[in-house]
Amino acid sequence: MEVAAPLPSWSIYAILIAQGSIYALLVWFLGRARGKTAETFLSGGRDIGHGMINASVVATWVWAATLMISSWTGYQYGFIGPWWYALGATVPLPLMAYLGRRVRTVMPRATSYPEFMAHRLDRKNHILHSLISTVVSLWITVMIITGGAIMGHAFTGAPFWAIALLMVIIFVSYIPLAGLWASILADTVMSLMLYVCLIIIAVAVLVKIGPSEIWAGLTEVAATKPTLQPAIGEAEQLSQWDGLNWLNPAGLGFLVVNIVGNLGAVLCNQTYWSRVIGARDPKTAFKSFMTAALCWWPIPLATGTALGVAALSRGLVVGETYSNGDATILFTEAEAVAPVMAFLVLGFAGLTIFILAVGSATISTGAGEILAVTTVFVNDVYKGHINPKARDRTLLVASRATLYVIAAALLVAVIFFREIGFSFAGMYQAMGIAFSSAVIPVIMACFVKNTNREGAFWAAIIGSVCGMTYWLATGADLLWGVVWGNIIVLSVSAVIAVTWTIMRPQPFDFDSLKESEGATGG
Amino acid sequence: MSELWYVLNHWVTIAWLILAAVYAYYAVIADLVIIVRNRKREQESGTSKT
Repeated sequence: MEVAAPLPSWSIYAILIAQGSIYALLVWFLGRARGKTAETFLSGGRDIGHGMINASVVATWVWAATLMISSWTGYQYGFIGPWWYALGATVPLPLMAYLGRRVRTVMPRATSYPEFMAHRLDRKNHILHSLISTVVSLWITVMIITGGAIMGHAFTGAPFWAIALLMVIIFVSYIPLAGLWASILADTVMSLMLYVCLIIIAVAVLVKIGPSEIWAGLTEVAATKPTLQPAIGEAEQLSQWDGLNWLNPAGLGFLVVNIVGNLGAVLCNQTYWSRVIGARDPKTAFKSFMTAALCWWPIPLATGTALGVAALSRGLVVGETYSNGDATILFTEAEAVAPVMAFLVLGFAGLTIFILAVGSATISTGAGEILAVTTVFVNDVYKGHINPKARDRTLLVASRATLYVIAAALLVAVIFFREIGFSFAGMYQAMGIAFSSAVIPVIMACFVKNTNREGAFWAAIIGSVCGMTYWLATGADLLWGVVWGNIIVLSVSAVIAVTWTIMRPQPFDFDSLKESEGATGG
Repeated sequence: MSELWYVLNHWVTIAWLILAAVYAYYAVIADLVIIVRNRKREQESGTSKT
């Protein structure tokens, strides 16, 4: 059945263009001086305060998935789903606080985390982590642009390519003005706006439905066991009917996947290291990541509870059409439960607020990730290997040029994957298998003075190969295959790096990093 | 799980969200105050920071 998009197509253009214009104007008036040198462009001036770093980490770590998938976990696993989602994705932030403080203390002039690896370990580890960081950021950006454009298309009817194009144009409208500082300023505004949007939605659900009614609905689902998702298997259905169980087994599996997957997405991602680099001092970096963990946690928790759990309690069925007044909306797939529920509770206003929140999340993360790829390319590849004697002016031009080229390449990639019908479903769960083998080597490089360079290098590669091989052998299973794949990746890389270090320790003097700068060390 | 526990759970999620928002706003405003003070000081001393 063909159901018209509930919102007009101009609404998504208006939301995106308004946001892009505000960020560009703010950056132009407040911070364009930060775009005058490559050093301030890539490092943000290294003097940004706690409030902005805190808000920036929150905004950058809120993806479209944070709002969509956390609500899906509420719909799929019941009340515990959003808790597990939030816990799993929060764990990397305190860890990053310790790592960031350590790196800013031992190597104050570092601009990127691969640069730290170059000086701390060696050239091959530098190349490996430059590659990993670039792939992580590109993967995430393609995923979030695709997700944002699919959602925009589904709820406004605007063409997929037009939304993707507009998002990329917004990324390159304000970032080239002041680099990292621009990204962090825009993140700050987005973060504050996001809280307002989500509080409106959460309070609306509280007032219009209420927790007692939701509890009664969950009890009803557990008793009557309705088929809410006709396409899923029996195991998934059982977990959905178990919505009041603290120890929902499938939900616990998701917790493991979420912890491991997100470790790689944060600790091996220059976007978050950039926030460490931009902070005023090591103490500010530490405090900001710690408070960001506490400020970020309730975002998926409250959203998933308000929208996902409430949808489960009302017994929403995938494939059905629902109405609010005269308007209707088609519940196309379980992952789209959040906007459908926002529409049912608040009508068009709810859907618009939710799209505004997802649009903000997509722009802040996407812009940060594109800048992260630029930083690694200019600082680690161009300055590190191609032109080590490049002057600041040359680096600044290279930074802006790289930003535009990457943005264009990403747009082509997003449209290409869409055209060939490549699905990003499950990519979120599979992320840990691809990236998280580098987590243990990064932690050891920061804190263990005897870390073996060969061990750190091969742990990252072999861990990923083992996890990927296992996962593919299970037929890329997204239930328990992906859980064990994630556990294997982290375990294998830990065993290799630790054993190699114990058998052949290579003592390192961290004080030697104090004056280090540039990516040509090792 | 009893109704009381679920209701408590639901309220905790919203209260935490509001507290997080209040802290984020407070921290950003504190930063802005510092930025404005520094700008005033720079203007008074006739220097400009890039």
